[in-house]
Formats: sequence, C-alpha cells, structure tokens
Amino acid sequence: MAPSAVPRAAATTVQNDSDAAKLAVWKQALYERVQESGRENDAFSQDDLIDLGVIPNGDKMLLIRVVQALSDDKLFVTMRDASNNILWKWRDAQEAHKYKQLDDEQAMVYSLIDDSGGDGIWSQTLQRRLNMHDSVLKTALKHLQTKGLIAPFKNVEHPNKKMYIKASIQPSDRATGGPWYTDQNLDEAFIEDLQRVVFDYVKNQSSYVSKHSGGGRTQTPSKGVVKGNPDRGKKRDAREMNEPPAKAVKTSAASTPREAVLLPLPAGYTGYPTVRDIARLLSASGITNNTILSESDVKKLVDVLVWDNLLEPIRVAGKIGYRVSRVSKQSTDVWAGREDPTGREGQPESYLSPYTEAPCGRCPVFDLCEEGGPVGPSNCEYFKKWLGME
Amino acid sequence: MLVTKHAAELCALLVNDLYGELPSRILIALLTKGRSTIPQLVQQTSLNPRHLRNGLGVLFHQNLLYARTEPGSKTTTYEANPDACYNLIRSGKILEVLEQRFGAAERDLVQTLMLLGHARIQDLGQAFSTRAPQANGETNGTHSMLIGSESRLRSVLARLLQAEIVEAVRADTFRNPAEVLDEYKQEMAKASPGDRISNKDKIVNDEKAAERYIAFRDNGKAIKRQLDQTRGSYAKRRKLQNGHSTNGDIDDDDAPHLNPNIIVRVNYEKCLVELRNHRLVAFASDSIGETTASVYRTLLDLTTAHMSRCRIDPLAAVKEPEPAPITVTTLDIFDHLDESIDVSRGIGKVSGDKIDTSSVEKVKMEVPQSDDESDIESDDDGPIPNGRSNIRPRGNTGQHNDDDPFSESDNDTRTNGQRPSRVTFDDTSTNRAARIEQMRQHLLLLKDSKHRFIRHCGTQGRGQWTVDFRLLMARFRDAEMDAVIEQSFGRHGLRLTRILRERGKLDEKMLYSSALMKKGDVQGKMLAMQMAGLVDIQEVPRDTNRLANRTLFFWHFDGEKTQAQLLDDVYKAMLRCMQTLQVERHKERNILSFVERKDVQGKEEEVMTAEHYNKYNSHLEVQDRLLGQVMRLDDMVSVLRDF
Repeated sequence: MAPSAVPRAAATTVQNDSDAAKLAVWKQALYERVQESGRENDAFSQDDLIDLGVIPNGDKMLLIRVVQALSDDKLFVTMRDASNNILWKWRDAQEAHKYKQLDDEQAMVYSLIDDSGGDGIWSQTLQRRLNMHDSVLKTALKHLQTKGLIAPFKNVEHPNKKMYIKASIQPSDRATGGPWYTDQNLDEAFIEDLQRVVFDYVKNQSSYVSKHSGGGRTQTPSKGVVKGNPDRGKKRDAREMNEPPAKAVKTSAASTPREAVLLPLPAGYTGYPTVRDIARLLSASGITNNTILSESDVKKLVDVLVWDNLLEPIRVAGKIGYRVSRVSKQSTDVWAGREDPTGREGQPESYLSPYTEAPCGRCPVFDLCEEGGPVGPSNCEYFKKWLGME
Repeated sequence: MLVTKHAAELCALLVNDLYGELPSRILIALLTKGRSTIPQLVQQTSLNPRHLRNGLGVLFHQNLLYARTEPGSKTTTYEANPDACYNLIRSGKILEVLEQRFGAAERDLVQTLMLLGHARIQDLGQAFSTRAPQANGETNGTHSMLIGSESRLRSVLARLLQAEIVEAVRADTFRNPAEVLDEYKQEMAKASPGDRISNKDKIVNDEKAAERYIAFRDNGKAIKRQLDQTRGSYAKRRKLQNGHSTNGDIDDDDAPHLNPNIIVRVNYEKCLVELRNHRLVAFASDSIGETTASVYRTLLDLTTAHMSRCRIDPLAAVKEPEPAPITVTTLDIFDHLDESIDVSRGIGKVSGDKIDTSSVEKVKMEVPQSDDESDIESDDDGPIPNGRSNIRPRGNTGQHNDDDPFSESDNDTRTNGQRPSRVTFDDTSTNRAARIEQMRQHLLLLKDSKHRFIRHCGTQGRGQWTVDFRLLMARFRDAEMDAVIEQSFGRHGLRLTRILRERGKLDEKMLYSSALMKKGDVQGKMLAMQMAGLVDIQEVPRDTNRLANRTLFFWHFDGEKTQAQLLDDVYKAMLRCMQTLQVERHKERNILSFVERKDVQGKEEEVMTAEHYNKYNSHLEVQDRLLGQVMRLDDMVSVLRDF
C-alpha cells in the first residue's frame, strides 16, 4: 500500500478523518483480497468485488467509493469488456507508484507500453491510438526514457520499426526470435553449425560402421572401363565442368581399397535418436553455451534437416526417431567443425540427378537455346567444356 | 505421351539417327500436322509419292506409325506413334535387362526383332538358320547360348511370348488405341435406342466399350494363353528351372509348335516393366544398400512376372480396376534368390534387446491411401503375427558376446538373424534357416525405408510381401524432382519447396520461421524459383479494396506442373545431347566415313595414321559420354512419365 495516497483520496471523497481511516482500511482489505483471489490479469466485475465479502452488506455506494479511491491510487485499472460492462484489474503497488510520478500524457503512453508487454509497441501505433501531437508524444517518451521506465528495442519481426518496451521486462521470444537470433539477427552460422552437429550425431547413432567391404560388391560395369575417378562419388564442384575429363582408369573390384562404410541398422531398431535425445546431447555438449534450446527448438532444427532430405523420421515402438538418409552412401567423416570454405568435405551425400550433371541442367541460357538461334547445340560453350574439347 | 515441341524433335532425331532422313521428315510432318493421308503428306513434305511410300514403309515396318483404312473409302490415314519412336532410345537398355533376366539367346532374338520391327516366325527361323554357322565361328564354344536350330528358336520364342516380352501382331495392332476405343464408344451410342442418352446409359456404354477395348488389346496375348495351357505357366517353369543358371539348360525337345505364319514384335510395355524393376533396384541400392537391393530384385521379378504394364491403361480405366497387388512369400523369394548373394552382409549389427519386434512385424493389409508419412503419425497396432515372433532374432547375444552394438566382429556371421548354431541338426537345414532369416532382415529393411519399397501384407509362408507400385513410383518421382531442385536451387531451395509441399500454401512469415532462414534469403530464393516456375504466389485480399497492404500473399508449390515442366526440360536436354553428337559427327565426318569402309572396319589401328586414330578415339569417347548422358536422362523420363 501507498500510505501517502490516503490523504489525497480522502480529501476528494470523505469529509472527516474517521471516514477516511475506515475507507483506507477497506481499500487495503479489498486490494489484498483481490490480490489473493486471482491471478494478475483477472478482471473483476462489480458483482465479483461484492462477492469477495470485503464490503459490508454489499453496500454498492461504499464499493464505488472504495474502488474510486483505489483507481485514484492507480492500484485499480478500469476497463470495459465486449458487452460494455465495467471491470477492474488490480495493479502491482510498485507499478502504481511509477504511474503516480507521471503526468497524464506520460501515464497514457506508459500504460499503452505497459499493456503491450514483451512484444513491445511501435511508436506509430502509440501515436495513432493516443491521437496526440507528435511533439507531445516525443517529450512524453523522452521523459519516460530518462526516468528509466521504458526502453527502445528492436523486434525481429519488424526490424525497421522503432519499438518501445517497458524497461523492467525482457522482450518476448516472438520479439527476439527465440534462441535463433543474436542481436536481432538470425544467427545463420550458429544454426548451420548446430545442424551439422545434429546430423553427425544422428548419422553416428543410426548407422553401423563396417570395416569389411560390408556394402557388398563394388559395382563395376560388365564391359568397358571405368572412366573418371573411381573413388566413391564425391559431389562434384561446378568448376569441374571446366576441367577435361579424367583419363580412363582401369579398375577392378579387387584393387579398390576397402574403406569403412556405413550400413543400415536392422528394421525395428529402437535406438534411433529422438528429438529429446538430440536436445539432451546439445545441452550436454555445451555447444550452445549461453542459449538454452528447448525441445521444440530442437524439433525445429531437426525438421529442417528432414526437409533438406538429410534425415528421415522413423517410427519404432511408438516413438519417432531419426535416422540418416541414404545411409550407405554417406561418408564416415564428420561434417561439423570443418574449416574449409566450400563446406564440401564430410558433407552429406545427396542423390544426384543426371539432368543437372550435364551442361543443360544448369545452363543459364537454356530457355534461349535453339538450333539456329544465338545459342544452340552447334556453338554451345558448356558442352565443349564438358566434353573436354577446349 | 504428350508430344511437346521438344519431344517431337527428339523423336524425329532418333528416327533420323537410326533410319535416315526420309522417314524422319515424314515423321515430323505427321507429328506437326497430325493424322494425314498420302496426298496430304505429299503436300506437306514436298516429297514425291514414291519416296513417301518408301519412307512410310520404313516407319510402318518399325511400328512407328498408326495406320487406319476406313472400311468404306479406300484411303488410309497415317498417324505418328510418338511412344514407339521414343522407345527406340531404350533398345540398348532393354536388351541388357533381358540378357540379365533371361539369357543371351533371348537377347539375341529380341535384338533381331528390334532390327526387323516385326517379323513372321517362319522368316525369323530362316534368318537364324543362315546366321547360325557364322555365329558359331565367331563365338566358339559358347554356341549353346545362341540360337542354332529351329526348335531352339521356337523354345526361346515361346519363353518370350509367355513372358509377354514378344507379342503377336495383327492388322489392327497398327490402329491408334485411343481411336479404337472411340470407335467402340460410338458404336455403343449408335446401338442404344432413343435420341438422348441418359448419363447412366452413357456410363454403361463406356464400360462396355472399355470391355471391348480390353479384349481388343489383349488379342495379341492369345498365343501366350495357348502356350500357358500347353506348357504350364512361365512362373511355374521358372520355378522348376531354379537352381540352374537360367540359360543354356532348356531342352530343345520341348520346343512347342508355333504357327510359322504368326507375326511377332517386341512388346515395349512389358519391357518397361522389366526396366522399372531394374531402376527400382538401383534406387533401393542407392537408398539402402546393394545386398538389400539384390534381395529386392528377386522380389520384384516374382511380383511383376504377370504384370503386363507399369500403369493402368488410361483408356481402359473405367472397366479395369487397379489390379489386386500380387503378393509373394518369404519362402518364395528365398527359393528364387541367387545363391551367390551373401545375405549376411549389408546390415549393421545391434544387440537383440534394441530391436522392437512388434513394430517390425506389423502387418499392413490395406493399401495405404495417402502418400504422406501417415504411418509415422498413426500408431494403429496392427495384428502382430503370432508364431513368428519367436523365430525373430533374439539377437546374437548368445554367439557374440558384445555389448557395444557398434563393435566390429571379424567373423561374417554377424547378422542379426544369426542364432547360435544348433549342433543337433544337420548343417544344411540350419544354414538354410539362418539364411532365410538373414534375407528376411533385408525385406524388413525395405519395408521400413521411407520410400516403402515393399509392404508386409500377410503372415503366410513366413511373411507375405507386396509392392504398392503407384505410391512407390510417386515417391520415386518426388525424389527425382527433389534432386533436381536441390542441385538447381541449393539445399535451401529444396527445404522451402518441401515445406510448401508438406504444409500447403504458406504465408511468407511462416515460411522463413519454419525454414530457419533470413527473410531476405527466403525472398530471394522464392523469387528465383518463381522465375523458374516452381512456386507461385496467390493473393487473397482481406477486403474489397485490394490494397497491397490489405492482401495476404501465399506461396504454393505445384508438384504436377513442376514435373511436367521438368519432363519437357529433360526432353530438351536429351535433344541437345543428340544434336551435339551430330555436330561432332559432322566435324569428324572425314574420319568417320573412312572408318565406315569395309576394309577398315575392325583393323582401324593398323590402317589409320596415329593422328587420325587418336582423333577417332577421342570422338568415340565423346560419343560414349553423350550417349551415356542420354541414357541417364532417359532413366529420368521413364520415372517421370512411364513407370
């Protein structure tokens, strides 16, 4: 309670001291009762307040006086519901104290900012709602800022808008973007690295490293020679288009060194990591040092990897685990923590389409290409390079 | 086959490549102008009628035309058969697959038939009898593989006829099937009384027409039915022959009598089924592993033995229901499995307590309706086959005492199906049981894949399996499309389109928050994909004013359109490869014409100068590369269009 408020409230509503004292007691009682009875954002109608039993005999006149006094002290906030009934909400005493320091304009501005909570409010919205003069609003905001009641901040959803938030609260997850944002920017490097860690972890947990030539025979054409690099299909760089095709190399299955390969695990394997397992790994490893990733955050991360066709969900024994896609084609190297700028080493192997491997599939002028046109098969630069005829 | 500009050009180019310019020119005219008579063609191609008839003769002989003579008038109209033209490109692939599946003799016969287009059985016999000694001379010692005698020819042919690889030709085989169906429909309409036909009648009529059409279509298989009756069905024979290599063991005595006047040709529809198996095996090998793929190969061979075509014939769709899925049992598969395949390989080893038997053995009797990963969401506990679970691997804990599931043990019996060997039983039966169990593991793996290669649909014979081709191929198509998107627009592009496919139309805000990407990056990617026609935007005004800031913008992804577009792009890419090859040939025409001389063929190295020989070799390399690429692109076309 704010005892200093009593004389002023008393002066406006009651004449003598005893009345004032009684009113103060009722005020105190009602305020405490309201605080105990409901949560912070519960609104009370007149009937609700009477039902609390603080006001003797349900005396409505008395109730009005008490509520008026509380409102004057900024301890009660008056509001209307959809059907225009008047409701009251209580406000924290400390907050109320802040309001009392402010003049009317500042109080109005502050209350709007207060209402917007963790999401903050745009200065233009303030102006539109309050219909204030620009300079009045500006001085009010400045005043509030110097008093340390509000703070300007940036919302990731509207990075260009000037937003204000109460200085005492943290911006909500929606406003900061959750753990994926650092200084209001999407932290792509962080996300990318986490994805690699998750991918590596799932790959390890969902595959079996065989050092025999476990995958079976290496496929060799029944006739002819293998041209090009006999190594396992590395994703090729676009620059390789420029290089002449490698010399024909004769290989036989026996001479290829036995590399460690990954094998799929038997059907019904229950050890595929779930979202919870991954979240646990991430928090235990301490990679995310001061950010805390909830399970739903990790789910988002895993979903993205699924959409990228790197992982696939599998349901075993009633829970959804994740395993790596195209397991036997993945390399045993780790993807995370690679320094090389291309990021190709240890990268997941994805299914290559024959269409995009040849020049036409990534030709920038494919739409124009026509025999007899400005570009066409007879003067195609890309084919020349691809066929090594330069 | 929808003939786009590029598809038409490709067909013409293929015909040009194989049969020369004259038929190709006629084909272009037919493709662009549609059905024509000879006088019309004379006008369109400016060829004289004699040449034109020659060219048409070639096309007709190679089954590249539809022809129809109206019963009343004596005029014949011709129409291009783009599917047949396109199939020319697959000849090599088909031959290779057939050799693997049946043997060298069958391949030889089909190759001859492909060269001839269609031929009378009698003529085939003559062709082979003249060739036989020569073949013997060349491939000394392997003559049993090739067709040496009339009876041998007949038995090989009978096998192919029964497998539907070869079909009989009649005069009306050269009619456009769509036209035949139309005619039947018209006849039905004429036959029904009254002026106006009610909707119900129409449906009945359509069904009757479709029925007649199916009869018409399957006419060519009459000979197969005859053979099935006299010789026992193909599958049965195959079973009997199991254990021996599939070729060279056919006793020529049981060569059936075939009417020498029957004309036969290659049935590409059935060949496509074989090609599809081949492709699916490659796909399984890519997504799971090779051993699993070879088990899959056996399963596919069994399930598709009686499948005449990859997709339901759209013309007969009203009458022909989706065929009941063909199921095979584990034991069947095992009996047909190549013994050289080491089924103990290819699967990682884990201890038995990490395997959830009940979810593995879940049986799905019904064909799943939707294509999404519904069974990831649903948790209906299907009937757990009883009596099976006790045979299921209890793990290898008895034999290898390893607690670490990822430890490596050096002996080869490390698969999960391995049980402690029981000394009391004789070795072979234990081996067999273990092998079956190991093979079952591969089947379960196929079932569990995200592509759902097979479906576990029953418990008889240690588990019944079937393939839901329609759904599987849809997923395969998606995988092909994903690969193209990923390589054209990067991982992020793929991510965005997959989100749109999974969630439908989405607001931009939703898109970048679920993709964990920057707003600007998303906009850039989406714009690039919109330019390429992959995604599009829909505007939904919130009020009547249609102001930009009062409008919702939704991105969406049109998979069907993208596939159609991709298909045409692939045609174009194939066309460009072929054209580049022609350009190359033109450049090296001097050397090539020299090499074509009879006295040079076979001894190029001796006759040619080193410089020329090197040039010739590098040209061959270029040609291999380009044709190889065309073949790979054809794989995509098959997946997107035919399978």
